[in-house]
Amino acid sequence: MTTLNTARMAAGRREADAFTSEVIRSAMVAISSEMKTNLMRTAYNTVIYEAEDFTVGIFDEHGNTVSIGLGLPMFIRGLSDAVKAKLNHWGREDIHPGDILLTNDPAVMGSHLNHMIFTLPVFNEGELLAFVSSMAHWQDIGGQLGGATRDLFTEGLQVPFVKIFKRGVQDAELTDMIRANIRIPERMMGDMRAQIAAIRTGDHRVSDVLQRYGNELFRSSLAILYEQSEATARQAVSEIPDGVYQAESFMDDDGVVVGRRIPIRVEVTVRGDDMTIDLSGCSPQVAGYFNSGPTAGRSAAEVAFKFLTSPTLLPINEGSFRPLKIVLPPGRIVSATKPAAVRMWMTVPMTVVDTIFKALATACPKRVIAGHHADLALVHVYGIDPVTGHSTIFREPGMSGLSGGGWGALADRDGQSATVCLNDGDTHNTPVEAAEAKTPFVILRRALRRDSGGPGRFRGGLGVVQETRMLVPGRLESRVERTQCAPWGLAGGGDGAPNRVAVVRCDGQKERDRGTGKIPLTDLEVEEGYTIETGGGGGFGSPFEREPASVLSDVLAGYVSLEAAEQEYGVVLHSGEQSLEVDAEATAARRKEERVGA
Amino acid sequence: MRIAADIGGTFTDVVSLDESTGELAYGKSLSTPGELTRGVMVGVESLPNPLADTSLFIHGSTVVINAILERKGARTALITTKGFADVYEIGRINRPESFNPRFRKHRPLIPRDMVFELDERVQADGTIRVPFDTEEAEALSREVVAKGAEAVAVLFLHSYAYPVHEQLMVEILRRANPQLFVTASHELSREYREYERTSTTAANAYVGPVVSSYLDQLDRGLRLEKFGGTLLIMQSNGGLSDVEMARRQCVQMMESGPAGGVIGAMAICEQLGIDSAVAFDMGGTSAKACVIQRGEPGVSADYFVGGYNEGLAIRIPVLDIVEVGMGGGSIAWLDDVGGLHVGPRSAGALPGPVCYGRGGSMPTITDANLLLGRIDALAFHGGNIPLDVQAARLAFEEQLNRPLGVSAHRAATGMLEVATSEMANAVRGVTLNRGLDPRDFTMIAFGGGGPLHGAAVARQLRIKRIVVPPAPGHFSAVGMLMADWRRDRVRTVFATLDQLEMAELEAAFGELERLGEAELSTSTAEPMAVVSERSADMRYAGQEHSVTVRVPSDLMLSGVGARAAIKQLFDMMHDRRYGHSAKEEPAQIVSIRVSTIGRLRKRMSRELATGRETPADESRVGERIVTFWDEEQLTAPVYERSGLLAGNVIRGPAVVQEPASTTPIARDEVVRVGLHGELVLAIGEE
Repeated sequence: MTTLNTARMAAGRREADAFTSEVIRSAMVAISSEMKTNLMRTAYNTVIYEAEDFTVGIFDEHGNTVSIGLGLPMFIRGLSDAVKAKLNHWGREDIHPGDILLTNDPAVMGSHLNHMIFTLPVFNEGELLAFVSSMAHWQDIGGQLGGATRDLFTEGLQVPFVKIFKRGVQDAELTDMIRANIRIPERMMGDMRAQIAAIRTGDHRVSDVLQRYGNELFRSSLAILYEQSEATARQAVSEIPDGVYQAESFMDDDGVVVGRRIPIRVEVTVRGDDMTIDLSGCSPQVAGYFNSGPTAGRSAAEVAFKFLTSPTLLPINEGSFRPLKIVLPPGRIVSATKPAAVRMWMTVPMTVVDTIFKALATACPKRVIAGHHADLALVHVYGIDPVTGHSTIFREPGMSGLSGGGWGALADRDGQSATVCLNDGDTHNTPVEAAEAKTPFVILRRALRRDSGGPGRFRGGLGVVQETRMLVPGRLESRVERTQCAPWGLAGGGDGAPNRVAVVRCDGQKERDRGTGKIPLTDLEVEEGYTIETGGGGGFGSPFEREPASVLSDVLAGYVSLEAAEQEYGVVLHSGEQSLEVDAEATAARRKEERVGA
Repeated sequence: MRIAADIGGTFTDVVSLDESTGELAYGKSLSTPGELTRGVMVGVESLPNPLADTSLFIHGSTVVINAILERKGARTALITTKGFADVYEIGRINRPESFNPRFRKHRPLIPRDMVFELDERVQADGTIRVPFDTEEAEALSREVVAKGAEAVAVLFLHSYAYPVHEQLMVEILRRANPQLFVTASHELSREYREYERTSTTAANAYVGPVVSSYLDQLDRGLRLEKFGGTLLIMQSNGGLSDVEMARRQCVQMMESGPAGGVIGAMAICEQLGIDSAVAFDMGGTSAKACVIQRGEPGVSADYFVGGYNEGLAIRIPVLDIVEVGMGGGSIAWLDDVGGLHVGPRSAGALPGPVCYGRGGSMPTITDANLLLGRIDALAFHGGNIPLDVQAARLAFEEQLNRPLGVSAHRAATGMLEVATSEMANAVRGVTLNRGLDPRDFTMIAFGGGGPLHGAAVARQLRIKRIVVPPAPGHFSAVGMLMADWRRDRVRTVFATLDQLEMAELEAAFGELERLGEAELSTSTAEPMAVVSERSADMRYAGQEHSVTVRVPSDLMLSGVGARAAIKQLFDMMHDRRYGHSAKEEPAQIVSIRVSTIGRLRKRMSRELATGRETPADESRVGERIVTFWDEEQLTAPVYERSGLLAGNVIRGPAVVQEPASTTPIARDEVVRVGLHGELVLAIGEE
């Protein structure tokens, strides 16, 4: 084997050059991607392999991100923070080859207890060189089923820093302790094996690279990669004018005190090639389950920063974030302290990201994006499965129940329609044919939501409307957010329509929300159901500057109604010989009148 | 006489096989994007034998993929179930580029104002919720034509199981408009998932009229040259189809070129008794890898035309090929902050590498190979393209050596190091990422760059044996000559294995087999044998994704125990692919599949005369200084491949060159020449 895999190639070079670091970069991207495939292939639960609620990655000896494979975009910071916390807890000297370090503590990774994080140290020639780690969403972690949680204890089993494997040997007692606290432990143990298989794969591949290039060449290559990523990010920041930029928005409520708004305030300071994002102005932590740990707040800032500075650069690494300073005192809704409830941790950070873009809209209009629907917009339906006779969740988030919604427009482009929210990445919806084959309901309509895109010179993307009717009796519960604070437009663009959910009774009567998308458990009869309407994206620029031809084609396509064309865009259309045509004169007059009126 | 013609992005390759002697002859012409068939005719004219003597003409073409990527299809309408006009545009809502504000979804081929809804609805269990209304359908048919549709795609929900409403709609459309190109989803795929089926059906309708006139033109052109034989079309599944089928199932032609190379590699596997191989094809702009195990290529269920991030889903069986943007024309470039990248930017065929002297100014992989002595400046493409070493050296000096502060030699080896690493990722993609360990695999290396870079890529994956077939530059076209007639059918059944009557399953398989055999019996191909292969897409209850399990045809006949046997096959397959199985969990059959294969008579190429272990002196044409994969510079003898005989053994360091490619042999590598002229390179022998 040594003749095949000799280090001859690298022998004689002590310092990494541009080529070596590029090879290491490409290898790290490939390894994190292989870890990802490995986890998805072997995971038992659908939340992992359908909704991609996981993240895997490679970290340097200090816990800094070398490359992460997503998974979950909003978990950009979670793994690195967890690895650093573990390193800090045990210290280098107490971490040994074959140890697998586990925790699910929201205080160190920001999200909920379902996110179990396993970490394996990588050694070469007796030296600790790197870590490989995997987070995956366990379908159950104990705790209360459904309903509103008010503290961490009701949400499940808390696993502090523990070694589930010590020098390669699994701790049987600790494993039993975990098994005893979760429902369907066989499935969860399957997921645990999948996570461990993924990090062992990562360990093998990183070790391979270390053997080929040696420890020093690996370290110096990482240094070059960090510097390059940092340089790219700094160049982008330096193109944003210096200044202090602020914005605010709000959430509907915390799910417990229904109807009481939750303020989100951000302040962004740009000085040269440094940026500071200050989240001190966000609401204090709340009584309900929408809190998240400090890592989630920092992740929101980093996600925004990544969008703004190096959106397509891979791998996502430590260097990319060096120009960013985050101010986030403890006790805010995105830096909650124990024992705050965090089950829906993913909701608020999305709005934080959008609010950061909003703050920078005047500073760097070409880099930002108008507001999006910013919620998973999930409705849970429970009932008795007519085949098995068991009580079941008809649609769990993994399978996937997501509709997607509108994304905001850019300074030069319309927003995307029907796309998953910021928290999620390569997550899919469930085909109607798959959902109906599995679940006793019928979907009557899945369509783009007309006029939901915020009007603008560039229009926001459209949300989705879906109407569902039960074929057997069932119960429904909804935790839909952002039904009040509409996805905002930028630079004079209009708002998109906000999220909306309604129970539909047999007589066709709709029970609308009352200032909230949270519906407590509600009984449904046969042919009763619900309608979920996801929000559209915000528009960009004044709708009165939109090309009349674009408005016409939007009307022909059905994205925009005739009335909205005239009222929102000032474009008057009339029937031509073949189809609708722009009435140029009336449009000019209408647009002029609007300007004078304004 | 048989001829295969393969239209590629740059060149159209033609190969003829004289069945009486086994002699192969090669021709090449520039592809003519505006008028593809002209390139074919020009290529055919360069062959030694007239078309009149040809009994079989096999053709692979980029016509379908070009029409879609360039959006040059017909004005197409979509008719679908009321409430679901937006399924095509909504798609699967995923966002692969998670931090990119400029991400884009797929772009439908049919604009929204050409999508029409019919008030009809079948539920998942076959219950008709809203019956089909003939009058409304007729009115819709008139409206669609009035809107100027040249082609119509029809998709109704759950038609994979209950196609009656689609059949009624299609009948109305066709009866009223015989000239209209009409496709219903159930005719293409009886598999569930409405977006994927819609997208596939829409693409088929969109290219239908284009493909029809293309095939007419080709047929006419061939007949004018007195061709009186059978014309068969290469499909993405690696099989051939009749022209009539290609007219109706146009999308099956999507990836016919790459399929040819894989079929050729399969033939090599059969010839040499290779159990597991990876076909590695490196051309001018990309490198591709595909696995062949026990004589069968990997087939993928997930194909996207235009790439995963923004492409359109097409649900047809496509060979499981992973591609990376790395080829001879790939460019090394520095970004704004001085970061080095190699590919996917490519100099293409025009202007091409710097050394071609056609205006290229950016250093490419080919230039690096030239500077490292790995290719010969005077023997490239048989000496028809003299290479300019000086120009290449200057480009490296200005754009890489100086800005990066590295030696000229290092810049060139560094480029190859990056390229190797990237191409190894493609091979990893079809092996390690699919749960396969490549160490026991043989690599079949072809395309102009495959032989040049195969060994370095193989080393990264600990592959120890590489086979370079004869004429690696024409290998896709040669492979087409080895293909069989093939038709794949799928039907979603959603059955729980424990509750499924085996007789019912047998009947369902039997029906698909009969359909396939009936179709084959009307084919113009004259197969010597007919084979039906059964498989089932299975999953554990509660899972969404399924794996395809081969079900032996004789299994049903045994009756008792068949159910347990199927479950066991599934558990084993799940374990192999995913690393675990759950024997105690119940399984479901999601879909059943039948492939009907008409085996064609084939004749392998002529055997080479056998020589001694030491190659004849005449084959040794010189020596030069060559840099091998480990950066070692050694003086290496140069052999001309055409002078080698079976049984010759060449120990590295050495180089074997031929008009379209070069095979470097490093110090610890040995090449043995096989009976059919294939070079078998073993790594780790000194």
